[in-house]
Amino acid sequence: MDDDVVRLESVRKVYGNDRNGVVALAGVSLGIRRGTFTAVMGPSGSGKSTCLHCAAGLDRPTSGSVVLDGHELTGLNERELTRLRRDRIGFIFQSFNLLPALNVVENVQLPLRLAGRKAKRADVDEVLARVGLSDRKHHRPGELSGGQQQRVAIARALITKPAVIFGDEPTGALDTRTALEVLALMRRAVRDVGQTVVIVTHDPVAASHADRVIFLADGQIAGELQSPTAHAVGERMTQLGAWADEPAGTVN
Amino acid sequence: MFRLALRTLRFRKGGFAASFIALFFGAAIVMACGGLMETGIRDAVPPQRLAGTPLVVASSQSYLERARVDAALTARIAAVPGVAKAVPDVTFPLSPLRDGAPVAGGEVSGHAWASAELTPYSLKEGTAPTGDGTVVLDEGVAAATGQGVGGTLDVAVGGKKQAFRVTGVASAASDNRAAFFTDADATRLHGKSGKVDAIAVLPSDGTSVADLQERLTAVIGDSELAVLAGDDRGRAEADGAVGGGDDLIALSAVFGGLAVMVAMFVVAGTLGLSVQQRHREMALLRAIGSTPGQLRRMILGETIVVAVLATALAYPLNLVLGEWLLEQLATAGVTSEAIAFRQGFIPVAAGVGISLLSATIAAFVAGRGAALTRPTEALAEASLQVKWFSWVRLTFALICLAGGTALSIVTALVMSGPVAASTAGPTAMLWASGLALLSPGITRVIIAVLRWPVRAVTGLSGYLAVMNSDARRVRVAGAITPVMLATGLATALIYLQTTSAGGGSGFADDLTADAAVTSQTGGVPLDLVSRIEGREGVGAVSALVDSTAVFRSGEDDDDSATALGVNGEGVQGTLGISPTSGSFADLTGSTVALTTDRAGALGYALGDNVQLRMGDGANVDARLVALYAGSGEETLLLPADLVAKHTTTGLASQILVGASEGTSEAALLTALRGLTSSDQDLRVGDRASLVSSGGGGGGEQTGAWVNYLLVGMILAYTVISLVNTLVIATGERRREFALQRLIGATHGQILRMVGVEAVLISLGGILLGALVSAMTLVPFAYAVYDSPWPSGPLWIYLAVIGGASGLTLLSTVLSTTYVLRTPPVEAAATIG
Repeated sequence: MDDDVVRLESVRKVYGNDRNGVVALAGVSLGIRRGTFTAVMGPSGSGKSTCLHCAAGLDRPTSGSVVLDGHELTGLNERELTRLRRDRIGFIFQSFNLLPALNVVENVQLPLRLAGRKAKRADVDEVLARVGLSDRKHHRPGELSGGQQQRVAIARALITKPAVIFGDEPTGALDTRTALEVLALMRRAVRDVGQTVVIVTHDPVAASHADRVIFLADGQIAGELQSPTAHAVGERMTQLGAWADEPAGTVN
Repeated sequence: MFRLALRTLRFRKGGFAASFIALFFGAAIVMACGGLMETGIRDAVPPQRLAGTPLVVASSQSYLERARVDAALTARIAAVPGVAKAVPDVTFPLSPLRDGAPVAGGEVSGHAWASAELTPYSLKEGTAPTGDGTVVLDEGVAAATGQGVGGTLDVAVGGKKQAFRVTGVASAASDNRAAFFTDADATRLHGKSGKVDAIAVLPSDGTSVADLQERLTAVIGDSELAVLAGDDRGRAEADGAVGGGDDLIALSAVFGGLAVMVAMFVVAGTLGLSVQQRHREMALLRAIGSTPGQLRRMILGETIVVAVLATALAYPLNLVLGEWLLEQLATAGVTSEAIAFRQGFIPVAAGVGISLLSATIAAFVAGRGAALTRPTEALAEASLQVKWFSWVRLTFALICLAGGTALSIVTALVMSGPVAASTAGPTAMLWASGLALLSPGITRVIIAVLRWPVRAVTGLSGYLAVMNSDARRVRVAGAITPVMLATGLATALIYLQTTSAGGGSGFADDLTADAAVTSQTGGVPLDLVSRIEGREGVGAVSALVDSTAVFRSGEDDDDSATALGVNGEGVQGTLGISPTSGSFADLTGSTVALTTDRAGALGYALGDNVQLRMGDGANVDARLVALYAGSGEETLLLPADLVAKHTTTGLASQILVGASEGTSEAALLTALRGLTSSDQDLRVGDRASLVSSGGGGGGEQTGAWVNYLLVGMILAYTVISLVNTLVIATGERRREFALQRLIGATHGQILRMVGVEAVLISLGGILLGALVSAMTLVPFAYAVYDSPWPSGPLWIYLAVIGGASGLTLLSTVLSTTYVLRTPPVEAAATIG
């Protein structure tokens, strides 16, 4: 348990007021171990994105506690949360990950510069080499393909050597082949440097790259799989009613 | 963060264009008003005709009418060591005639030939004037009249026509319109025996001008007189000896202040919009680790760069604008044409400071909103409705509305007359600001009210438009705000002018005269009254001499009123006012008639001595012989010859004539036209021309015209911001339009939908604008008239709302057409 880099304890999140609010998380407790690749899955409205936002300190739980890399997040103000995020968390979103005004190198350096730290040229070159973008350093996001943009986002997440990288549907906007490349990159980061990665996805193939898949339904944990296959994940999702109207076979 | 700001600026040049435009014009207007104010404070009238004279002795005070100097002083000044020569200088207006009509270019100033060396003028042709009835003309005058050496020139002086033989033509370095007579002729035409307008002092070689100035001041030892040097000398030559600086200070303060407020408002609005547009970018920055403070600093950095650039580029425009405005003001008679535009570093620094400050405040407000962006919004696919409500916002809105209400109440209850206009600008701005802060909430109500009628009339496009507007309420409110500001300010400021002009013309409404005799050459001599009185069909006759007088016993010694010189016997039959006590017939010698209100306020009763200071600064004690009920602009009546004695020209502006009983207006006009056969520059006008020229209140008309000019400038600025805002707001919807087209909407359908939205925006803006202007105008009308209804033609309002709706519709539809030129698939793919 001490090796958990993220721990959620009875986290509840209610949007709107108490009387007619929407319950997004109804008491979720889970721990993420250091150096693992975790996927959070669930049907639409299961609360998987909210769960990620709360774990990453982007959103505040209504009740419960979140401990990130040994720091209790509840009770921190916006400024302290931002600092913590900047130092210990990397983010990859589905789209609109990069500032259009800045080129690749500048986008990658940005988190360090925001923290008032110097971005070492060698470090930037190294992460860009890791994501295979050494020849695209001075392009603007508008001149890159979707997959290349996601790889820049991964590089930007890696540059701060964060405790956790969170991805919110990081492959959601990509075609199958590009998605596989991006997933392989994340997988490699976990294997090579012991990076912790948590992604939210609805794609069983993406989830099958993870060490562990956590299923959410109606704001609660509905089970998990270790070392999953895409098929097993698809079946579990079908059971949760995610693809109730579709034959399960189409998932693979 | 600053480097990021710079990079973003360079990348998004277009996005900052709107803020740049708002700041650029705002800074130019504010700086120009500052320049006008400095011009007014310095009141510098550089000498032209007296340019060759180092020192000039003249009246120390600037009065509306020219104050004069004793001619006997010349000898005493000439005796002071270091004085080479003391030259008495007189100036009188005259109109050169060509074929009986005044020449183009207007009046010329007449002087004695001895004054020629003060410029200096030198003869180009012919000789100096010798003997009675001879004249030397300035080149310009010679050309305008077509007369040369040996010719005969007819001039109208003091309302009389006289002929002079031209003995020479002179030229000088500066452009002057002068004519030089013999000393004897000049003294006679000047018509103030024993007095001169100024004494020019030429120091002997090697004398320090500054030392001599001190010595002369000591020798003269009269606080009424001053020894002028440098730019001050211009005061001695400018007609009326007034640069008009005080009026300029007041005018530029009022409009400069308004311009500052409008600029802050517009800049804050535009900047807020452009930050809102980059909503997702802000959210992304927040998510990857920017603190709210860093975002604020980034927006501040961007804004300051844009502001510095805009202000620097606005500087040349401000110079052009300031000089142009001054020229217009001089043409309108608010200031002397001789006053020079002076803009030192203070107004520029103030203009730059105010522009940067308003940009900073605006950036702070916009940055606050951006800093509150939740990082999770970067993750959301569609940007959600922006949260607008906060307690800070409500607090500021309530402060503004409370301030506006307080000003409205103060205007209605405490203020009276035209002074009440001074609170109008701030009142309108406070109400506009308060409503703008609450506008998203108000917009919700407006949309709810307009929902059913709009849908009923416009079908599917209307349905989509209403749904869009409701979903994008905060943005719609952002578009409604400039429409509100433009219509509200336009209505308030324009009707303020018509309402106060309406107050002033109460005087003209009372007029019972059937005809007026005026002159083409500046004024009508007073003795014409007796010549008219004898004519057939003439009932009442009164001259009208316009000037001002100050009540010396007034609280702050600055209680001035329009002084009208009249002929007591004719007042009732021409001006149409009747005494409530006393008799106008007693208005002879040193006497005065006051409105009952004024007499009551100052505590005067019939028979009391009223202490006045006339337009030329002379003190007069006048016995109160009549009281009358005053309406509109405050006036006081004095005998015509008393007022004329204290004016520069000594002439009446017009002579009002009422028909005797049983004589028709036409018959009277025919009878009066007989006068013009003998005196060609006289003109006879009928009743209609009399009323339209506003009777005695001629000065009000020109003042109002200038106000329209300044109002127009500020309105042009709000219109720019209106178009600006709408164009940005439309550009932002590129993806939305693309999506609609991909699912089958035609160009026409999108344009119709956008059109209906524009109608909603203009209706909302007009409604709120009406509220803003009502809160300004009703108290003002109440202060002036005791009635809540402002006066003025309805078409102005119709033009204002028509113009605002037209602009809103046009800029929305045109920018949508532009946006629709991008193929939908491409547009849908563009990021953010």
